[in-house]
Amino acid sequence: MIAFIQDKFISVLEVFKNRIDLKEDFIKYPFYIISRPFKGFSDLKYENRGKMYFALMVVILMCFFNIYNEMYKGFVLAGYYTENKTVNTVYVIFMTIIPIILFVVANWSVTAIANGSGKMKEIFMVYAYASYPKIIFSFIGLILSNFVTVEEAAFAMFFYSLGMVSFLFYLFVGLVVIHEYSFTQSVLMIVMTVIVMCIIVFIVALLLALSNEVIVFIRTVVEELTMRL
Amino acid sequence: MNKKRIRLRAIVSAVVLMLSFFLAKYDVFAGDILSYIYYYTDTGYHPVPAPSPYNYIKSVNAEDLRIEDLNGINSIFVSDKHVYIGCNGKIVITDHNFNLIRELTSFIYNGKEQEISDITGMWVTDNEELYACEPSKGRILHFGSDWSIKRILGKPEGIIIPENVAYQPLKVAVDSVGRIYVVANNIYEGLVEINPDGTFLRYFGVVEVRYTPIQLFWRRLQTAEQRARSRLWLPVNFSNLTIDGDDFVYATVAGSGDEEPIRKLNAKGRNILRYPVGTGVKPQGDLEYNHYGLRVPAGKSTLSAIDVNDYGLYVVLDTKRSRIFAYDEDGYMLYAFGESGTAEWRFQLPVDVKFMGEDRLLVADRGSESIKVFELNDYGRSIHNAVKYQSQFNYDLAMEEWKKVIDHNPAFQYAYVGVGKALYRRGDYKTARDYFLLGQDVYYYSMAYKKIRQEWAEQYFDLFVGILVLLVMCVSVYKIIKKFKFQVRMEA
Repeated sequence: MIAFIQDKFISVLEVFKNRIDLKEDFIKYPFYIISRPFKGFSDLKYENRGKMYFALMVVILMCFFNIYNEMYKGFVLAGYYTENKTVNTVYVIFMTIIPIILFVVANWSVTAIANGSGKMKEIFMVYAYASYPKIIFSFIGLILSNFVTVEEAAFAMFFYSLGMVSFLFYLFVGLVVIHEYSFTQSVLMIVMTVIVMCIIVFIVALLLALSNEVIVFIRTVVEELTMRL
Repeated sequence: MNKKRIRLRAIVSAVVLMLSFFLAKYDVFAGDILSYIYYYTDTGYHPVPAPSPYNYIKSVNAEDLRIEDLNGINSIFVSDKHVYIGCNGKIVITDHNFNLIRELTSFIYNGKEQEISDITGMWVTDNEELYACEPSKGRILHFGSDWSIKRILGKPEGIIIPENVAYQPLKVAVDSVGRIYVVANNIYEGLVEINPDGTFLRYFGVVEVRYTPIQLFWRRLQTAEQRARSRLWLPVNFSNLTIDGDDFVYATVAGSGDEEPIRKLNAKGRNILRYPVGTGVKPQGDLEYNHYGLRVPAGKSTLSAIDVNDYGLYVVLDTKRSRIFAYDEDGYMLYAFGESGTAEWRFQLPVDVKFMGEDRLLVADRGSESIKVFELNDYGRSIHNAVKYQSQFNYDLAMEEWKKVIDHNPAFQYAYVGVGKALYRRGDYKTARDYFLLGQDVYYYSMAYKKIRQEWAEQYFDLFVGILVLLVMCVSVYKIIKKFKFQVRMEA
């Protein structure tokens, strides 16, 4: 029995070992995308080069990065100092993950009815691969922010901005490729996505407010009934 | 008998001890004076309670001065010897202990006696010559040092104002050369600067109109008729002014909402008031305020009076919420205190504020027709001394005072910056940096950090060069060996 479990375990490990090529997945392919975004993202769509577990790892990395960013950002860039600083990690994680879900859902709902050929999984992976350079650049900025003075703050800020710009660029290119859109169509799609994101936020807020009303109503009815009975 | 005496002595000493304890405490935690300081956190500036820098001493009213009334008290001025109180229909002159010296109600000019009407602003030169504004008659009265009238300055010659606008001087200040600066009603070009001989010199320190893009956009959409009927966009006027020892004019802007409500004007009329570079927050009274207002009035502070002392520390009076704010010459807020109310130490309608001597502050209150006298306590005196020493570049003495301030109020962030500055001068950059961190001052932190980094680089420079040389050597040796091996293999 134990031997069987061992065998099974080893075989699973071997499968993983064969499927997970760390060098290929974490260095070669992401940097291939950075250097040749159009070819790289079409590889993601047609050659199955993109890995789902990498995308999930990037999300986890983003969570970690945002936590460290809150915690260790240099005084000059953060603008304020606290002794024994604490970070609300749960809040930071939520604030990292919710925008991703929001964007992916919004983009999928727009493109699904507008002849986009990207799947939800692909949209998510494009988002993750586009975030990869952002994490790298912002991380450099984060380290630098601890070693700069006010005059040099722009230097550290530059890396943060570069991360943001590169993220937007790769996201745009990736979406163009996976949805097979022309330039004008994709600009329109981006605008629509933003609008849909707003609508989703609005509806969720509305839902929460109204559900609160319903809950209060049910609770009062129950209370009333228990009083009467 | 002996036992009783011992017991009595014990009780007496206990009572004295307790009293001394309370008295010592009382020196700082003065009454119920509302006082706060702005504390910087990640979400910006927030007010936190602070000990009051002033103790309330007394309130001087007409009865104390043995005069009929202080009706419509509008301005006060403290000269080296006297206190001048400008009221409706008279100027009251007292000494610094508020013993009445003279009550000017009328003067004889060209053989005719003239009554004094309301006095809104006054200035006394170093040789005790008094200038007083009389807006209802559109003139400035100039009294000699014996308080007899010397001349009457009407509408200055050569001033260009529309015919239908009356010239109403409200506030006046005179610099050491004798040039007269006037805040006048309905004049939007700035301060009126008058030559010592009474002729018009120029408009000074214009408050520009600023448009936001949205305002301009709406104005484009309006028709000419609508534009004519909508409100004029006038530049805001000044509300009060004073002149410091170096002849710089300090002025407050009337109304609220201006970006730079306190201005220090140089000879060109430009605003050169300093403000903290790190945060870029300009001195403007309250930073956090009600936007909609239930019981406390809403909106930015309305500054109506300003006074500056010998070492560049200035106080401004916010009439909207009856508060007094003090800043040092670098524009850091030192304290804010006062509130409206009917209790003795509160203000009903404060109109003017002036320093008296080193440690007294007078506030003219029109609502209660009195002058409130405040005196610096230990906490306030430490702040003032620290600022004074700092302006004399005596950073070590300033540090001692700042440390006392921190003892009284650990939430006073600027005090940490003050201590840090002294440590920085001494060359103790690491401790200085820690103090600057506590003071949340990015600018000074950078200065200290730069020095630390420089020292660090100097210390480890040899090591860096050594490692670099070693690396280069290793690489070259490796290459030579590789080449050699290659050659050997080739030969083989």
